[in-house]
Amino acid sequence: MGAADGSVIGLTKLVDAGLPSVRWNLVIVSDGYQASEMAQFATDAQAVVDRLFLEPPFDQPELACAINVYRLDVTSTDSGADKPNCDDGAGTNTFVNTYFDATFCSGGDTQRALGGNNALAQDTVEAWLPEWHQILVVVNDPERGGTGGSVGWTSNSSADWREIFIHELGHSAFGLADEYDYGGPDSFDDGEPAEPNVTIDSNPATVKWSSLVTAGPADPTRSNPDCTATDPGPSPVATGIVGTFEGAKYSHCGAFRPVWNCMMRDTGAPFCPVCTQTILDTMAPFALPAPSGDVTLATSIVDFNDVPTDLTVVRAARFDVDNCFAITLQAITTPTAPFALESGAVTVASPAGPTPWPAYFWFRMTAGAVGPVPSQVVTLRCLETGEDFIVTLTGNVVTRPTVATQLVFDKSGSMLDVTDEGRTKEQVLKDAATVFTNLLWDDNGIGINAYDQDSHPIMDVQTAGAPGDGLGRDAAAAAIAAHTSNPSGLTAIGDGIALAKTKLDTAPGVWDTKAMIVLTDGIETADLRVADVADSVVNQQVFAIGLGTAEQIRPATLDALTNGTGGYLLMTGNLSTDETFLLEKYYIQILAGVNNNELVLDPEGWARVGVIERIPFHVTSSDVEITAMVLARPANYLTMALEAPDGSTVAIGNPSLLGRITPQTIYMRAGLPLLAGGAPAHNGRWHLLLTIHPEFWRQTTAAGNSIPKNVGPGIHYSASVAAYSNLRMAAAVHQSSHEPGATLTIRAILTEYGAPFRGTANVKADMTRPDGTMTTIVLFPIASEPGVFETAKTAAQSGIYRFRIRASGRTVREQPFTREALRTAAVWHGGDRPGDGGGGQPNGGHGTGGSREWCALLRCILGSGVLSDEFIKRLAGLGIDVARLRKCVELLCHDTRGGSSCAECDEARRQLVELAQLLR
Amino acid sequence: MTQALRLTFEYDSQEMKLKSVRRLEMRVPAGQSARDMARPLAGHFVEVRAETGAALYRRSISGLMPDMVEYPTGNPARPFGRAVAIRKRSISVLVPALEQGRSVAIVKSRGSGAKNRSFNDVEPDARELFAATLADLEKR
Repeated sequence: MGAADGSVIGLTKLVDAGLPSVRWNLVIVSDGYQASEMAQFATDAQAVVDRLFLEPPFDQPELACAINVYRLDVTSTDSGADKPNCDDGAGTNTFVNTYFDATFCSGGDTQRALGGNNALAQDTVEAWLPEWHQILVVVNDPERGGTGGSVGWTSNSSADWREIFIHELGHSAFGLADEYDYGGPDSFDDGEPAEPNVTIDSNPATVKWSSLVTAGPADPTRSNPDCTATDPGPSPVATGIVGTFEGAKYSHCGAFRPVWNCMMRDTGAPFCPVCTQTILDTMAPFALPAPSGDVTLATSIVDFNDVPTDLTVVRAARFDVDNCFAITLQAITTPTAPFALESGAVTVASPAGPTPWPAYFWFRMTAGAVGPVPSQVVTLRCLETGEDFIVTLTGNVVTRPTVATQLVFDKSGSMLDVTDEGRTKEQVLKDAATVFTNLLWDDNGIGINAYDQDSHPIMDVQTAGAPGDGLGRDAAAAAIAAHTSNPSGLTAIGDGIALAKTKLDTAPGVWDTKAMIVLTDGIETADLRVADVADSVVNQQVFAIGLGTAEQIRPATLDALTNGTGGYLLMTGNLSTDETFLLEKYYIQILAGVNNNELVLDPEGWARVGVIERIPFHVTSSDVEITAMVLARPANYLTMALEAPDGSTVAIGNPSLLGRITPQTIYMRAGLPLLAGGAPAHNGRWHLLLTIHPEFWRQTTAAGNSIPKNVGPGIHYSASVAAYSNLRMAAAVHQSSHEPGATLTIRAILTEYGAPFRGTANVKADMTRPDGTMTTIVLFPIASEPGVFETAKTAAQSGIYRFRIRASGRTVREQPFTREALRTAAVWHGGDRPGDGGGGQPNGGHGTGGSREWCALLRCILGSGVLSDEFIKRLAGLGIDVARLRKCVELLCHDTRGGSSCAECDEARRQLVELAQLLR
Repeated sequence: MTQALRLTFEYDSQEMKLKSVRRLEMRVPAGQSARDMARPLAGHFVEVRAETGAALYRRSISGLMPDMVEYPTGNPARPFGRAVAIRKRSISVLVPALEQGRSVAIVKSRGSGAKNRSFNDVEPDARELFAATLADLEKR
């Protein structure tokens, strides 16, 4: 008998929660299993594990991550356990040879009391795993049996043997008492038990688990009406209610339990709240991260590189945490200016998902003078592991990145056409360009050129400066006002791009970012074409705006060019009367983008006399500068202010901000935190306040000083808020082709401090189809790419699809935020035909039935001054409208679908035949 | 790293005989809260005591030391029975090796019970089953 009756095979770790020195270690040991039965033991041990981690609270991460489970394989000579004749009359007086001498009737009086050699079990386990906390010996015998204690014993065949093990674990590992009320004296006659889940105190208000009591004040919650028997019930309260229930610790009366039923009374019930809390408390030392590995510093250097002057930025040291417990990081030393702590200590909870997970400790730097910043060392401590980590703060300050933008205007004849919205296209462009110029940052560069069939320089790049100081902003405003289109001008977009490229390449001064914004209202009708110059545009962002429909512009090559430079293409479609500000919005968005600003929101509305519009927007601590701007006609009859989260208001004229008013725009620009009401204001819910200036009303009504309220439609405005921010959204719409049926992939990427966004966000897009119908679509997060949201739609209709992409959510520091972006996509029949920026024929032709040469000849005759004014008058006398003919040529030479059947085109053909006859 | 002592006793319900002591690097279960340590409770406890004799760490070990052991009956109405425990058996107790600790004791405390009386009123009747200084234990 004993160790000679088998052998120890080895130890296997079934559940690995970490080093045994830092976790609670359960060892499951076999007895009565012959070598050929060890597979059964492996199954039995795994069954214990599976059942244990299903049982609350062991199913909770903080416990599941605290427990190691091992299996110690020990073979025995024989199978089963001894069954001696027992005092209770049971037993067969049979004996077997097993390693740990498992025996029924272990105390001599009760057959089912299965036990064995505890000392040998402890010594054997200790030789393999000195850090053990609990031993369970599983005995391979079909008869029900077991006992608790420092070593638990159980046979492996009864239906509830795993639940009984969990009940016994409650005793031996967590010091819980039995809550059943039989097996002892009818009335409990001992003092207050040490176990936390039984008591002699019947009063719920004073009982030792009073903090968990959910029953009423009745003392006790339930009294046993018959102290000679178990209370038959029913319970006076619902299942799980905590109070004082008489009958516990083997006695019907005098001892009380916390709930009507619990695992410590009946293995069919879960652990009650009192037992659960005891288990959690007891296991707390094991539910902590361990030193030397669980928490590691991933970024020992926090580099505030290239921070622009006067800005405050926040960056983090990242820790990798390789367990599922929360950690608390505390600064032991404090940095000095320009560095600072965002907070002295931070507790970070484990997110759901795989380990290691990142925990961030945030620092702040306020940039002063340009140049390197002396590095500093900060000591951070993980309170759970007691480990100290050294973080080095470094940084340098740079001048703010400078941006030069070249505006490229289309001055072809069709720019004189009147839009559905009521203005000529030329005027729409001039209004939008004026707004763009108004909103420039003072250190921005601005240049302008135009194109028809040739390129036309207008002004070279100059620093914008403040209004009225005679620099680039003033020059651009004058140039825009003086700009005129060429009634007979054709469209050579490549000429415009090529000149813009040259102007940017040779721009005086140092510009960190160079961008051009190319506007066109029609299809390419003359060389150079976009395809001719696309390869030469490098190191410059190209943005393009199509002022017209997809069929009119066919911007396939322009789309490809912009995408390749980091810019994008925006299309207006036919401007309608309710799209007064659309082109301005496109220009504003591009201006914000090239200046690394994010659009926070972009609503439209009506300002009214005597009514203050309150437009809410969120600012986060990731934002370092905001620009609140309003477009209106006239804007200078409006008055605006900002309301900080604490209710303080700041208006134009406040020395903490820049505020400007022009006939087209009114805006306020401020670094954060902004001093408002004498206190710094930063993250929180702000409001843009807007109303009509009373003076305007006095000037435009005959009512004198009386200002009526809520009258008339007021002044139509478009408000935007942009933020120079570390929380950024990159939005894009990719299309699989330019033909109807193309797949449009709408994608938004959120980042914070240059890293993938770790907060919570919802991203949606308001999609306007070519027929004007709208729908809102959801962009879904990509599981494998944090911060990336995406969805796809089929572009069934021919025309322009507009997307207003909106993100909202909370930053990693639980601060609400919003971001917006406008993007478009265009599809049209023939959109994928090669050789033409707008489709076209493979040979590059642009005529419906004629050759490219025929079209070129007509353009030459009509567009380059061949026809004298006198001849044109003679033609008019003959009933031929030359201006109309020019448009016809444009139509015919660009209808690539062949055999145009439109009435307009038929009329054009007829007039062309007449012209040809006359010329002969 | 947390230090602990594993004390292994031979126990026969009358006396505890220390068989071995082993110093280990491992964590031990949480002890009673300060509030519970101040309460006179009945049961078996292991204590780590300071120079003054005050308990620095106290944990109930009643579940390890019953004279009666629990067994499964197979009877749904009374699923558990209680039987006489093996007279002599091995008990293993873990205690933290606290820096301020000077001694270890196993205590059996028995209050005089009274139905419906607050446990705070119960007078303890404690008896040491085992006591030794940590210095003596370290020599073993």
